[in-house]
Amino acid sequence: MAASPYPRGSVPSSPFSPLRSRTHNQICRLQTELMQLMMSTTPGISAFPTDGNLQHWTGTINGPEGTPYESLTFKLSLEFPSNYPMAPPTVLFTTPMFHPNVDMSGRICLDILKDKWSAVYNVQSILLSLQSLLGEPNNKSPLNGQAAELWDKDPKEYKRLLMLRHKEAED
Amino acid sequence: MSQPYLSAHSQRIIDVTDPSDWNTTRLPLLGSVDSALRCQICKDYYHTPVMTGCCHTFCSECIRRSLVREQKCPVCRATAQENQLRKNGAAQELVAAFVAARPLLMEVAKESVEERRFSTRGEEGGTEDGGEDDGYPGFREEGGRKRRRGRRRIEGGGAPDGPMESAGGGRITRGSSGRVGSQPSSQPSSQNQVICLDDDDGDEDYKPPPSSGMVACPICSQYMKEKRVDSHIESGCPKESPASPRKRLRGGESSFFGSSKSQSGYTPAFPPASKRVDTKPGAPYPNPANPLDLHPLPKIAFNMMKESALRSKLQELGIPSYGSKRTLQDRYNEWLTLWNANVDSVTPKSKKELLKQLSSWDAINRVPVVEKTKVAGWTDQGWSESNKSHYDELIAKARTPRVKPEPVKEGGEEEEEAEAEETDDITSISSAQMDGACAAPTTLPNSNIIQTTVLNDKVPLNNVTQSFQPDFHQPYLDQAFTTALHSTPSPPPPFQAPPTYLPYSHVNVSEMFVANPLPPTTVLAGAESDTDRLAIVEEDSSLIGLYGKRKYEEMEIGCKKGGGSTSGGL
Repeated sequence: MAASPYPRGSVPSSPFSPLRSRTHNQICRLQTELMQLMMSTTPGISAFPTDGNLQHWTGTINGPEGTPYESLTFKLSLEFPSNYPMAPPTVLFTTPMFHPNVDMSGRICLDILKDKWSAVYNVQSILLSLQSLLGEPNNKSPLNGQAAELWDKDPKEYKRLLMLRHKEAED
Repeated sequence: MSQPYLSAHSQRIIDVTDPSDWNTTRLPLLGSVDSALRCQICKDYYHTPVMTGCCHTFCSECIRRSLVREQKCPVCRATAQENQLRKNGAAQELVAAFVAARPLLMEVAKESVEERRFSTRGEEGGTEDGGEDDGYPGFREEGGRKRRRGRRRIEGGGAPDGPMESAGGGRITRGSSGRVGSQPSSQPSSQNQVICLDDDDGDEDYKPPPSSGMVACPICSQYMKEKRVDSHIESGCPKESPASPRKRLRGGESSFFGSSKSQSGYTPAFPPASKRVDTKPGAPYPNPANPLDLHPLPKIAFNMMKESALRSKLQELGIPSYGSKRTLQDRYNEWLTLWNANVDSVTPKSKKELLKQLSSWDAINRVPVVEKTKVAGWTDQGWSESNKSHYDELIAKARTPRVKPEPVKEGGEEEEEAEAEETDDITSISSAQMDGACAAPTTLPNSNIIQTTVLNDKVPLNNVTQSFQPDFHQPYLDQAFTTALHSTPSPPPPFQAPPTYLPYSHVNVSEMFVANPLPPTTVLAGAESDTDRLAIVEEDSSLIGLYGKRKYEEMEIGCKKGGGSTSGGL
């Protein structure tokens, strides 16, 4: 492929190298989302691009009150694919997590991040969904069987294991 | 632009408008007005808004792109189809009016807050408004098509910049509320536009139910007789013959957004024959504002279409036509989105601009090209010249009539033979990395060549080479690999012509490789063990074809057993 199939000079080159591979739509959309998150200050959630790279964000969720996760803070990484928002971002817990729908490496089983994704969701709605997932796990299809079992049976043990796991983060 | 990335980035963040901007002003309720005028997919103001069958509005481009992936409304998950989309002219006017009025509104709303609270600092709100009219050139260049549009509108209204802009905004608002300025943007002459009293500007794509039992093809939306639909789909949605009366019967349809010259009012009659009669029969509906050559493209049933046909279709459309079938499909879909959204647009862009957009799409979605490994001082030409004798030798050996292998080998001699049933397909080793520029031996075939040669267990496995060269346009092996894995495999060789195992029983392959070291791309690195080797075969089974795989496994097994079984043909 010696010759470019496009007219000369038509291939865009952006001065912002991290964004070079993004189309305008995605940049625009992610910027708007960032703006919205910063302005709205929804309690308990926040997110910001990592190292100024719009494609990769770090999010934080505070554990909802009245759940074992109360007063704990969890970090997540959000990786946006090139066709975002048509495809969901890849979301992982980077803080060690003990939860029926999160596995040991932080992967999350949540339908809206998979087949139920819709282009109208955004970072805010993802983080809010995850926050509510913390309080209302789906124990029917657990990734972490032990957590699913303990959730109903033994809240104390659950809390102990959770704190044990959470401590790893601080060490 | 030598600005460091971050500062440029943060600067641009400021330019982004958001409904929450209003929260800090005296008019926080305008926030909901603002957000109601935004597309839920791109979160920006509607750009060419269209409405789905379930009455949700999105930008034309956004929803079309979404529907390519899933035929559901992103908001309510109701089934939605592209041919149900209808333009939402009211939303378009609202957005235009609001975007034009926004800076001033914001200014006023902020000023009064500031006057009240900090009466000495009146200039606070400047950054927020700055983005609209006197912002940063860098941003305006690349960002905000919507903002650009808003700006044009303002200019079109005769108030280029600054405080006078309010006049522009006001005029537009009046114009649109009175249904007078049929096109508030980009037409300075709009003052003397003809007043169009049409009562259906929201749906100028309206397709009249075609007369006498015509139905729309579910794939490409052309109208035809019901009984024709099946055969039409089976033949891959060709354009229906112009005789079929699928016309849209609205010659003067361009009443609302239309260009000024055809604006002499609503003309419900047939258009002048010379202009309308099937310049493009495939078009399901016309766009009023567009010149005649802008018609929506039909969808394609890719399953019904051969790769070559698809490729020539893309060529016909003037868009790049390289890549695997999958790439071609994706590219066509992207082009379909861009094109049809552009057709909907009031101010359509040129094809060149669309091509530019497509090229940036291509840049993202292209399978990453693995740079051809370059050995210092190595050139194709030089390689083929310096090794010409080897190649000639190999070709000569390959051309010699096939010698019937000995039916029984001595025990312990693990030598496997591969046979070529068809001398046509005979190739030489290392043809894979030779692309067109290379003076390759003339007998190189261009279709799938699977060549597997196993000597014995003692031969280091790195010397076992599988090379294949699928018929891709990209010459590089690695890329061919990756694209091939995502694509429909090229048709396997006919069963009578099994993969070309070469009669190398008499050639010591390992020695040959030492004498003739292959360029790095040819040997599949990492084939350290038998399992690895099998894994490679398995992975590429789609390419190798069932027969080749089976054969290879047989040979593997034979190899492990140490039995000198030979394959005696079919």
